[in-house]
Amino acid sequence: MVEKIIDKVKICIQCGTCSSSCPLNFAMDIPVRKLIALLKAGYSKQVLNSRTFWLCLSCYFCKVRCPKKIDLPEVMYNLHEVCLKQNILPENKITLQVYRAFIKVVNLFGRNFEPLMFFLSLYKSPKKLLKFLNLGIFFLKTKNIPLLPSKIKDSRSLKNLLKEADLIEI
Amino acid sequence: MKYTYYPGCSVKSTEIGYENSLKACSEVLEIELNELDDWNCCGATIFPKLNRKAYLLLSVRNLALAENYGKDIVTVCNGCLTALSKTNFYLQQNRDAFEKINRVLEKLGLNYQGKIKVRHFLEILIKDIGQKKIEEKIKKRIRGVRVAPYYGCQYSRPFGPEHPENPHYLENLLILLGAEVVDASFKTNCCGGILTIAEDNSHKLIKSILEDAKRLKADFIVTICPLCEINLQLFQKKIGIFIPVVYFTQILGYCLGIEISKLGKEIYSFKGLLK
Repeated sequence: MVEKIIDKVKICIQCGTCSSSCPLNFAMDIPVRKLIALLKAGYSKQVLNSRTFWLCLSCYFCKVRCPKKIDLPEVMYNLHEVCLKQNILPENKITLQVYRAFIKVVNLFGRNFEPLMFFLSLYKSPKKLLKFLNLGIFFLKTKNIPLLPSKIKDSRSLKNLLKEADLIEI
Repeated sequence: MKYTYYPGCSVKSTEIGYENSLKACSEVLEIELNELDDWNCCGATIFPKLNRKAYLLLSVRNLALAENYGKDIVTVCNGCLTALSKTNFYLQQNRDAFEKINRVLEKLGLNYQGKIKVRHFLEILIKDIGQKKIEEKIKKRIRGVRVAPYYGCQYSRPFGPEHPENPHYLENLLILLGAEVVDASFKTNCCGGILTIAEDNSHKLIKSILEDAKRLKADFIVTICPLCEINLQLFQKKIGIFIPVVYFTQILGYCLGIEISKLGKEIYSFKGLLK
């Protein structure tokens, strides 16, 4: 799996455009350029244990600016999957909690239901949950909070279909 | 003009005001939006991170459903726009994957041929409807207010209809409506996306956007994506800079003479600015 990712970044010329374009570069322990260099040099353990790709915002600045047209967001995404397969968890546990909450809700209803997704994301971190509720009071004046989720007609068959996703060889 | 409308999850729940204003504008501009029946979540930016193949299935199901309608998909969410068009692009590049996914999709009785385009409502307004027609329908203009346009990332990147870092359709529209548009260099910067829940570092991105808007003396920010709107509004209390954020369809609707009560609650923050 890591080999496939290395294949994608082989052509990197180490210009650093990705690092300097990344809005969250300041929060990363290993800048993107260095992460790619480590990948190519075979230091996959350091790469998988870094927090860099867990901070990917999917803003695509790096992708549209890369002179070698490397699909860097895709590389960051794939690193998430490798980590989960090898059971390497991110330093910030809430990130994964949010992602899993989202996936759980979509599996249930076929669509996202924000109140439930939000609760599942943060129920393990009550301090953060309270902070958000405090911000929310101001915010909700202009919003409409749905009480019931909107669902697709046959959410169970979609859920079963998604289970099969892993078996597709692509 | 007829289109297949893909709403996306947030537009159907907290951001219902966005959809209401979209529908009201479409009616006035004679745009027929047929909502895609039984649509599902597009996968956003989360499914491709944790389960890439499930994300492809989710998107292809929507595209396959839309194919029966025979019209382009229109959406007002940048996240949905990118998720769906990214899948389209991927399938065109990988015929083998295309076949394999279709084989799985057959279990739902669906098949995708790859004929559907995915577009943002803003692009439809400028390209298909045209500024001339919009101008004919305008009832009032919003003179004397300074507006900061904000596209967010995924409208123009990676497969947008315009320059990836310097789009201008939103400015075109706002100038048409009589607003004074400020030169917002942050217009395609990132709002933090879904990471704002987990990662406090991402709040700095919102802060820099709000600070810049304030420095440019913008009276309000106009956005075209639900997640951008949520992020830019939700964290104002924490950051301590208060600027109204409204959707482009709400401003457009106001200028088209649509009753304010039909345009969603966000518009009230904007109404206060009009003398």
